[in-house]
Amino acid sequence: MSEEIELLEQTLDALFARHCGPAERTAAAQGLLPERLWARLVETGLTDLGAPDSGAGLPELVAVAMAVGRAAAPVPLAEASGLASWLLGATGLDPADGLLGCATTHPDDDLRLVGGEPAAPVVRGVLTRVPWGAAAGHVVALARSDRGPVVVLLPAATQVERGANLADEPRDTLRYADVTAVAAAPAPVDAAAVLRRGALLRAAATAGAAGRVLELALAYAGAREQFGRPIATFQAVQHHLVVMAEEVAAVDLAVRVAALAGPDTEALAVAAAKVAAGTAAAEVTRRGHQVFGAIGATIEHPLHHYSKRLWSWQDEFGTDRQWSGVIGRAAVGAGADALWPTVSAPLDPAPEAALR
Amino acid sequence: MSTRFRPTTLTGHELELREQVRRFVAEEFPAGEYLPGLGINAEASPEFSRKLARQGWLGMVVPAEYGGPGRTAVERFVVVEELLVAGAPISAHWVGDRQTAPALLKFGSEEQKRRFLPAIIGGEAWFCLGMSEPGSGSDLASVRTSAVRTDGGWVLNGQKIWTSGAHYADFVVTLCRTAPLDGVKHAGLSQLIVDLRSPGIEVRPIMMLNGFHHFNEVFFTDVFVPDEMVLGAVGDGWHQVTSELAYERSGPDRFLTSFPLLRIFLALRARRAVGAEAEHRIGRLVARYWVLRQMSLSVARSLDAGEVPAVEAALVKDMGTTFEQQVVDVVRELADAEQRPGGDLFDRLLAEATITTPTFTLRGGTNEVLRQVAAKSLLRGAGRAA
Repeated sequence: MSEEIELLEQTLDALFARHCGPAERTAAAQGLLPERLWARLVETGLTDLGAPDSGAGLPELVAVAMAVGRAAAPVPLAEASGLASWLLGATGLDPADGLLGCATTHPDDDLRLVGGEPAAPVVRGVLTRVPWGAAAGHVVALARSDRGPVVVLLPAATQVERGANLADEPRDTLRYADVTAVAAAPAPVDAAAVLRRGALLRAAATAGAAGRVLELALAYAGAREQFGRPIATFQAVQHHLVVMAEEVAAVDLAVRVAALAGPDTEALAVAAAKVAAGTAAAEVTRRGHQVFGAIGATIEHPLHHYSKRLWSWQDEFGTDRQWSGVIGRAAVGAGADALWPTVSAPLDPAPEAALR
Repeated sequence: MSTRFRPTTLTGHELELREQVRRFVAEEFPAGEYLPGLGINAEASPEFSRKLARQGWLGMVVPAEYGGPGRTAVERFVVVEELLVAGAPISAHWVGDRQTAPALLKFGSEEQKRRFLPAIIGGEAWFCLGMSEPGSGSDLASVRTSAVRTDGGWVLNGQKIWTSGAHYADFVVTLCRTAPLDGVKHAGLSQLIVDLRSPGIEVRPIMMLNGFHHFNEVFFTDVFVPDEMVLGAVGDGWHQVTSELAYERSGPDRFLTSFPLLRIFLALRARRAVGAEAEHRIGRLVARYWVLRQMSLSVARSLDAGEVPAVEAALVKDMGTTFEQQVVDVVRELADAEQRPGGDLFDRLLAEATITTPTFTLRGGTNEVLRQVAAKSLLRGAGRAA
């Protein structure tokens, strides 16, 4: 890992440690953006880290998402930096003020151009379960048009159906009835590329959150005594801890590898990372809660901040079952002789960072 | 994070080596004709092992001063994974190549290195490991086979069990007690390199449930072992055997054993791989292969960097061997038919895989004990971090 990324991780961890308290969580649970925390993130340039002029690439954006997961931070930082500012930046459009939301290419999304000028088209349709959609000042989305997909920068929606995931993270459905876009440009990427990037960022956040649950569980099992000895001395508990460590290590590496993968391996690497995230979410929540016993299932205990996110994130940006289906379809289609070359494909081109 | 797996990939030069191995394997094992072996359960073929030796692919990590090519752990990884995927008969050279060569390099005397390393590289001597005993399975430090001092060497008595390949190997590297037990069971153990042709040795076969002869019992009755055959320091045996574990635990042999079964399933039962449910299940396996391979490769790269990724290696072994079993379950369920051991290539391989799966999570130490060891390290690491 480069020193820059290590520094970025430390900065984020420190920032979240200071600004991620009960007040921020209460605000977020009501669908409000924790203002002070968000202002700090904007100030430090982290919210538009994905813009082309920032010099940051996927490894940096993945590090950001991991830090969000580690802190269970109630902010759409991974979406703003990794998706919104990236997608807008790739079109050369100017960033908007305030929170920039980003549509997720949800299967129920249906947004299309119905008129207007090419630079300010009129759009109609629905964007489903947009993270912090109601709080966003503007929303970036892909819209369909006769000339292919278009990136549109939309004003705040007037028709909003509020929703949330299990962790009270806002997931708002936005309706646009013939609304004129603030700006638009031909999309440099397709919906599949946006979905892939979102899946990788969720897998990264999962790695962060699952890793934190492991840390908490190791500390608790070492300290909590029953029958006169720490519960960590019981083999059955040790097995839970080891399997948790395995799945955390697997998703963590899968995500870092996917962030370095080139065009030939990206599809498999990202899909495998999201599948690994699903497995980690399932094993770490189940076994983590088992280690903590009843106290871990209470609202006072911090565990639920992580487990609710893990349960939600495993199905966002494509369920792990959908992603394993993508991998399986490709593998079956390519046939037996392609199986090993696929599994053993090198990252292309061999990234400098991966060879040290 | 309490463990560290760094992303890595194969370099251009490592990919060239891989191409050589792939060409060799394609010639040796034409697709559709060869019933692949399953990992290190595959047959022993001294003839095939010597072919590998002629390619320079045995004892690859041995440096030039002992006649080796001085290759890296990753280069060995590249060769080994291609052989496992093909189901090549690798058993004859397996222990010498994976275990004995690195152990000799690390602990062997100059004389031992000059004598044994060229023999390993040339495919001229086969080794096996005298570790388990009837009363010492997972609790290896409780071995009772003992060696007593005599003029110019040691007199060895006792019994080993589950000794892979003792019926064709030339030497058995034997863990034994060289000092009486005085409370600390990890002290007083030593490793002896024992010539299996020495007087006083008897090897008896143990037939496995598939009818294969892979394991043996080895009996030592007053076997004389000269001083120059003590590996490393007398009394240092426990440290020596445990320090090899990162090599032993994390290699491709810990997750690729049943890979040939999935490959042949796709080739011969393609109609069973159709539909969303089958694709989902196959996709999960492919995803897991991808991730496990990245983890295993990452450990090999760490070894080349001089690190000792002991916990990481233990996690890979536990995950990988458990996964090898899952692959057999998933393929059997997708095949969705009665097993026919006398059927086509797929039927025969599935039958073989089904009845050998229990050994995947046993050999080299049970996964249960492995988890206990890994948990202790994780908890120690967490204690330090706190």
